[in-house]
Amino acid sequence: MARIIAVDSNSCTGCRTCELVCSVARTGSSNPLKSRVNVIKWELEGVRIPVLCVQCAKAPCISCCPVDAISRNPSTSAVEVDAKLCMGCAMCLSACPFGAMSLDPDTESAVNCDLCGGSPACVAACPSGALLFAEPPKAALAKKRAAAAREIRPE
Amino acid sequence: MALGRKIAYVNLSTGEVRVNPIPQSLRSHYIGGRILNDYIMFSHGRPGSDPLDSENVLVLGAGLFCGLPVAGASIAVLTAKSPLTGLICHSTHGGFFAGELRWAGFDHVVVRGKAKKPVFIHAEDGVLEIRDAQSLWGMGTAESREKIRHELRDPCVQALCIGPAGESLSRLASAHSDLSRGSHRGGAGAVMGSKNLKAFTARGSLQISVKDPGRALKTSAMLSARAKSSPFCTKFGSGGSFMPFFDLAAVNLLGYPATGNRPSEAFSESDLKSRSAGSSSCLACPVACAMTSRLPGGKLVSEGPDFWQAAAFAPFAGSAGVDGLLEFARLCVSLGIDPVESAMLASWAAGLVREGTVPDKDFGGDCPGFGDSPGILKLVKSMADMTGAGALLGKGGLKASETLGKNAADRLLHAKGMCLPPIAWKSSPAFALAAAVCQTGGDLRMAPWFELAGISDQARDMLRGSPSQYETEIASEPLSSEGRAHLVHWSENCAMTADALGICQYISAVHDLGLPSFVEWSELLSSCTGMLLGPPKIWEAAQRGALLERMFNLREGFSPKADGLPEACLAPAEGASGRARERRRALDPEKFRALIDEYYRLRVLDGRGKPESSALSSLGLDKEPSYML
Repeated sequence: MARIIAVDSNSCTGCRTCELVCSVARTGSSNPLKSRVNVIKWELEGVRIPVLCVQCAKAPCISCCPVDAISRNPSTSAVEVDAKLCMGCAMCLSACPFGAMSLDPDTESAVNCDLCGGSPACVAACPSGALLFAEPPKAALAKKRAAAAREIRPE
Repeated sequence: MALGRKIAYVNLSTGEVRVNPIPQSLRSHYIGGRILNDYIMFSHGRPGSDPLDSENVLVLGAGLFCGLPVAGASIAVLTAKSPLTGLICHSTHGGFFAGELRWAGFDHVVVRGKAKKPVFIHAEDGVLEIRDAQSLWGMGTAESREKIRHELRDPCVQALCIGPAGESLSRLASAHSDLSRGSHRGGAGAVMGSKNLKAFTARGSLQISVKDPGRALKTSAMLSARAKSSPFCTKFGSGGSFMPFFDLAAVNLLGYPATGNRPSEAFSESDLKSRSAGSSSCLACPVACAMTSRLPGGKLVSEGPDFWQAAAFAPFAGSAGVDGLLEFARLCVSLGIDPVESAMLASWAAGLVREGTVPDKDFGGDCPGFGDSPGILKLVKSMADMTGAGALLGKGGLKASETLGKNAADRLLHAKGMCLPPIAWKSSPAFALAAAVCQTGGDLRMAPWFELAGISDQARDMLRGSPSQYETEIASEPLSSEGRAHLVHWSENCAMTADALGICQYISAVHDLGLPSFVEWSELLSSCTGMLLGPPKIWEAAQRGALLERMFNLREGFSPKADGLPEACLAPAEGASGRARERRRALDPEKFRALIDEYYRLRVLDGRGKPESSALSSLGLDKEPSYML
């Protein structure tokens, strides 16, 4: 089973290292608007949630793309955009329920998290273990373990 | 480009805004952040101006690495002539403001003049505007930020706001961003208030190009992992885990009454943990040292308390314990007031009343006793509003002493008019020296904190190697005087560079010699920005910053006699035991003076604390101010 990036928002400290690393690794420059992952916060409520492409099994972005520019990579199972085919209509942006599809402000081509070809830079850089790169059942088990730990060792 | 950020000049009296590039030659001399702020202050400061006069210049500077994936790069610096000390002040803060300012296209904002009505300065994608802030006046810091976000319809706007204390021109006023991040020390919040400037805000989407992304990310990942596993960060680096710090043998508490509670008596660690809602971090920080706590009612959170707040508040905690501390921390953030200065002044006042030096009526009966938690909260509010006893204490200790008398001044534990934090500075000659020669006053941010862990042979070799090339021995024993001037010189240069790069000092060698300093920063400068500055060149830039701050202060009439500590600071602490006697020997006034002289030699200052002309010419400072910015 292909691996995905699962989020454990309870562990996220809100440092946004994932955003910085993603944009530098993928575009050579730091700009949160070019990052495929963004940490969404409600500071006053203490809420911090990294949001990124969850590589839906039935991805609406793939279905709605009028030029078939979006497809699944057979080796990583990541949803990927072919920039040469993409016409920048942003239908995928509208269709995605998570805001995981965006348009690069320079190229005007659709961009999303493509798992860095199977070795996601954000996961490697996350200092708090809030991003897990694993097969879904294994990611779920890790989250169950974390939830159980909170039950017996509340912060 | 990482070096392509600009400088904006804002005249609030005329409404004029100018934006200029920053010449590359200034980068290699002054890097950015604090050191470039020093350069700007020395060029633009009007000698002799009143700190709260509209002519006083306020400089906001973001560190050069802010906005880049460099561990701990989140620091912005507010620089001005301090209304508390009359000397230069640097108030630094972390959080997310500095990165956003750089994404908005700016590294430095120089503010002069006074707006007719309250305003805020908004930076966004290369444009900087002065906007109306009348509806924000009177609001707390977090409340102001939320209202600005609401009005701009953008929850990602970052704001550095003053609260009621800055508006009332309390000389203890701070400015705050995020949940609690504060530019605390020196009264920069009052300088903002004196300009009718409620806030700086920033929102940006301009990319910061990285010269060699692969190399930069690799180095950064390695340093981030090192920070996360360092002994200092592991022990003290998660929210609310600062209590064991007070138990370190070398941490001494001073300014405490014999009967007042120490932090370890005032606060139980389990109580602190039970109030914690987890850790939160600043931009790009792998450590997340801040504790968050839930407000009564349970839904909302605030950040804090931290180590400094706990140390300063402990004598007043009384039966309120941790809950009193949380309330104190939140109140200081909301009012925009320096928790350390306000609590230390309260301690001073309470001590004066208790020993009968000053009658209670001189404080209008408002002076809290030790253990009176509600009393100090009330006093802090009045310091922020400049009413009652707070109107006197809100001017700062030295100015209040002009009313209270010389005996009161003699009891003030301060350096250059700024109260000393109640911790560590008396425990070793190095800390005492750091406090004595610090150009911003009683601030220990630049002290050699790494000394608390002891100086190993390896550490000694590192300190004496490149770029410092010290020839003197450095003793490993913390209470020794041998080589202590060198420790202070080294840690000042290290802290100065961290502030220029925007790297939090907790993730620098200032706190743990295993953490990054000149060599690592040289590599990051090269891979992130393309600037080829070897460790010796970075060291030189730090030396320039230190001398420029001293030159600024001398130009303002600073007497080098102020490089020292009041007698009250050198006497043993009340109720001190055997260890205090040992400290007293170590802080023998003659030996202490010799340490200061040694420090002067390292900084190439004459016997009166003025830079020698040879030092100025070798660092290229002999033509300053050169007004290139």
